Amino acid sequence: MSMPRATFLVLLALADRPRHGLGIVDRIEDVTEGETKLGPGTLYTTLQQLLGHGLIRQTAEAPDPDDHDSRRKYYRITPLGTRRLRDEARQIRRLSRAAARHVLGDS
Amino acid sequence: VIAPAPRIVRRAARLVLRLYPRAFRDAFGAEFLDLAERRWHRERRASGRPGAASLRTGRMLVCDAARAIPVAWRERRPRPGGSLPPPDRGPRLMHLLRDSLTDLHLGLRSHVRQPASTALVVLTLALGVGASTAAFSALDRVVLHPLPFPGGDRMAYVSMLMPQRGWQLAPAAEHVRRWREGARTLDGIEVYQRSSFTRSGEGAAEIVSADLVSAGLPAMLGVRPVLGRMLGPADAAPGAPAAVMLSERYWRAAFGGRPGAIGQRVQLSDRVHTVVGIWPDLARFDYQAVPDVIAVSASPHARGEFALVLARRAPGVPAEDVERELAALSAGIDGVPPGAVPQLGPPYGFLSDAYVQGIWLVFAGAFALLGVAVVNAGNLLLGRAANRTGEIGVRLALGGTTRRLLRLFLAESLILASAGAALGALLAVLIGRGYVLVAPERQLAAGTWLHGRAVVFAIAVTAVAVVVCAVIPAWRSRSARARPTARPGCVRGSWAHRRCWPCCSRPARRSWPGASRA
Repeated sequence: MSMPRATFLVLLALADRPRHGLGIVDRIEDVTEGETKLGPGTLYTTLQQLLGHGLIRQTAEAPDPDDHDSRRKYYRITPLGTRRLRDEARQIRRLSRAAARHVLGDS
Repeated sequence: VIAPAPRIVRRAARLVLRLYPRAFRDAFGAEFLDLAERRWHRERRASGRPGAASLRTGRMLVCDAARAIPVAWRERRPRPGGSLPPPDRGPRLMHLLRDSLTDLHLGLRSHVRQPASTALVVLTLALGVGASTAAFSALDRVVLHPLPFPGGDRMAYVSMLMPQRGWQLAPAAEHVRRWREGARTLDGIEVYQRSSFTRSGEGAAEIVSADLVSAGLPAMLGVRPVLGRMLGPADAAPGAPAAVMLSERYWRAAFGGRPGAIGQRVQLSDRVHTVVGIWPDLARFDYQAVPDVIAVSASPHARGEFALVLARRAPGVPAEDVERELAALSAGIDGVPPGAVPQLGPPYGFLSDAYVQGIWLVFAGAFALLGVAVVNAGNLLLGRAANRTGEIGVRLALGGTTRRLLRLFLAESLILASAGAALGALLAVLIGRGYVLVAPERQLAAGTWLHGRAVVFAIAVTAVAVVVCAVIPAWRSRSARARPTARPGCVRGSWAHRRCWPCCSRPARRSWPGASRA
C-alpha cells in the first residue's frame, strides 16, 4: 500500500540521522531541490502519525552536540520505519521504471 | 538568536494552531509556532520585503491548515502501543464484516446475560412498533392508498357533484355509456352495484349480500382468484349461463372452504348460478367488505340508479383533464340536475370527515407512543451502560475509539430493535385481527393487514430506534474513561468510596492508569 508523499519525505529526511522539526523541513527542501516545502501542520501531523505507527520515535540524543537546543524534540527512524521506507522506495523505483518505459519511451 | 517575526504573523500562527486538537497543540504547539516564524524569516530573506514575506507565510499557513487539520483531528487519539494497523487483515469489506459479526456476537452475549432488562427493552420497542405499524397500516389502506390494485393510484370514483349544495349523486347509466364510448383520458371505466339475493335450495333460505359488477371490472382491478377463475365478459354475454363468485369468507362459512364448491350450482333469487371462483377477501374495492357473492351483469344499473362508477385514468393524465372531458361528454343528458358536474374522488369520499380525521388522530397518537417507547428503550440502555463503565473504560484504554464503541452499541441495539420489530409486527397483525373481532361492523379493518408499505414503515421506525438507542449510551459512555476502575460496591459517600483510589481520587477527564500504554 503506497504511503502519502509527506510521510515518505519525512521518513526519507530521517533516514540518515535524527533531526528536529526544522531540520526535517530543511532536509526535505534539499532532497527535493526546493520543490517541496512542508508547512508546520503537515509536518507535525505526519510526525504524529509516524509516532503512532511506530515508524519513528522521539530521541533525546542530538546528532550534533554543538547545535543542541534543549527545547527541540528530535526524531529518529525505527527499524520498522526503515523497512517501510525501503519497501516504498522499491515500489517507487518499479513504478518509475514502468513510467519511463511506457510513457517516456525509454528502452 | 533571531529577531521575532512581526506580531501579525505570530498571531496568525497562533490562531491557526487553535484549530488543531488540544493533544496536537500540547505535543507540537511550540515547535509549530517556531517553525512558522522561521518560515517567515526565510521568505523575508528570499524576497527582501517583510510585507511580502508575511503574505506568503499567511498563505502557506492557511493552505497547510486545510490539508493538515482534518488529519490532525482524525488522528487525535494515538493508536495504542505504537503498533501499525495490521497490513494483512484482508479487504476492508471483509474486515468490516468480521468486526460486525464479532460485535453482534458480543451484543447477543451481553443481552443473554441480562435477560430481564433485555426483555423489558424488547417489549417496550414491540409496543411502540406494533401500535404505530397497525395505525400506519390502517391510515395507508383507508386514506393514503385505498385501492390496493395495480394502477390503484390512478383509480377514482366518479360522482356527479352539485357545487351549490355540495351534494354528490351517482352517475346515470347514460353517463357511463357516453363516457365509456367517448372518453380518451380514461383507460377503464366500470360499474358495480350493491344488492342482495335470496339463496334457496338446501336448508332454509337466506339473504346473501351481492355485488353486481360490469363485465370488465375484475380485469380492471387485476384481482387473482383464490380458487377457480375470475368473471369475464363471456359471463355477461346474452344467453350465457349465470355465473357467480363467492367471497372467501362466505366460501368458508357456507361451503367449509372445500375446493369442490367450484362448479356447484346455487339458487340465487330467481336464477340458478354456477360458482366459478373464489374472490379474495382482501381485494375489496370500497369501504364495504367483499359481499357474499359477486355476479357479473351486462347492466348493473338495471336494478336501480345508485350504481357506483370506478374509473382509471390513462397514465400521465391529470384528474382535472378527465373531469373536463367527462363534463363535456355529459352535456344534454335528461334528468340530470342543472349544474351537476362529474368529479373524481377517493373512496373515502363516502366516509365522514370525522372518520378520516379520527384515523389521522389515531396514527398521530400511535406515532407519539413510538417516540415514547424509543426514548424509554434508550433510557433503559443508558442505565445499562452506566453499569458498564468498567468494561467501557477498558475498551477505551485498549485503544477503542468512540466510533468503535458506537458500532458495538449499534450492534447491541440492532439485536434488540430487530427482536422488538418482529414482535411489534406480530402485534400489529393481532391488533388488526382483534379489531375485526371486537367491532365486526367496522369493515375497514378488513384491509388493515401488514402489507408492503407497512413493513417498510416498521423497518424505518426500527432503524430510527436502533440509532437512538445506540447513540445516546455510546455518547454518554465516552466519559467512562474518567472512572473506569470503580471497585464493585464503591458508592459515592461510602467507606469503599473513600478508599477507592483509582476511580475517585484521580481528577475527571484523566485517563485510566492503563490507558496511556495498553
